[in-house]
Amino acid sequence: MSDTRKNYRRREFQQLLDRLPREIRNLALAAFRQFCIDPALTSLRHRALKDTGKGAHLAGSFSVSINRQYRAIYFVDGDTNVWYWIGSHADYDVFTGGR
Amino acid sequence: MNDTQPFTATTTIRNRIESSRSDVEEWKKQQNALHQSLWLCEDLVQFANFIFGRILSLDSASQMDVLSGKSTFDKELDDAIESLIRDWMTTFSPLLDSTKRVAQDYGNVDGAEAFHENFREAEGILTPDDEFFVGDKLVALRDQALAEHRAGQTEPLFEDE
Repeated sequence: MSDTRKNYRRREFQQLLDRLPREIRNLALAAFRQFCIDPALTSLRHRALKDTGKGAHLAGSFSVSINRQYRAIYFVDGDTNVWYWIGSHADYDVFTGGR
Repeated sequence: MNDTQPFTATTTIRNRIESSRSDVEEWKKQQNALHQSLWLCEDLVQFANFIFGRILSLDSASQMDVLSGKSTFDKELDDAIESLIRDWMTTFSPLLDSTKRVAQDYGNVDGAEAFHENFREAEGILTPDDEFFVGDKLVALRDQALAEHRAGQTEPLFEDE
């Protein structure tokens, strides 16, 4: 099932993408292309993240697996998927300041 | 001090030296054991890191095969890779504490930092996304992205879009 929504990204998302190892970047681009064709593709492990009820946006976010180590995260705004974070679990720990 | 006192003193000191000799020998043995422990620990840590890298490479390769259409998703392979990660954690988890202990004695264990990061990564991999990717910072980033998007400050994901 094709995803007909448009896909936009934050500028910082591209910076995060550019900082990834080349192999992972290539995987990510392949994953995004496949996501547009079939978001439900098993290996993308498309998951809804829990909505904390906080924040300005009513709907929650979704994660897509680049591979087991890396995730890209987006939310839906109208007819658009807005991609706003990408990285490994370790990167996420750094982003959140550790656990 | 009479004539015999210096000799008595030397004897006492000699006895002390001799009694210390066994202590020094014992200390040397312990140090050798510690050195061996350090080397073994570093070997194991490097090996653990190498194996973890191999698992992730295997995962990336199989993912690329699926995404590029070379193969279809293989549940058996997928389960096997997850099992490898679990086995890796179980097998090498004792190194988490031992690297800290050895580091206390020597200050540094080559590869230990990467090992701890790999272990944390493995924990993250095995944690469901909706439990791992949580927190106020993500919500704040999402809000920021929403504001930027509605202000026309986001860009197409693909240049041709």
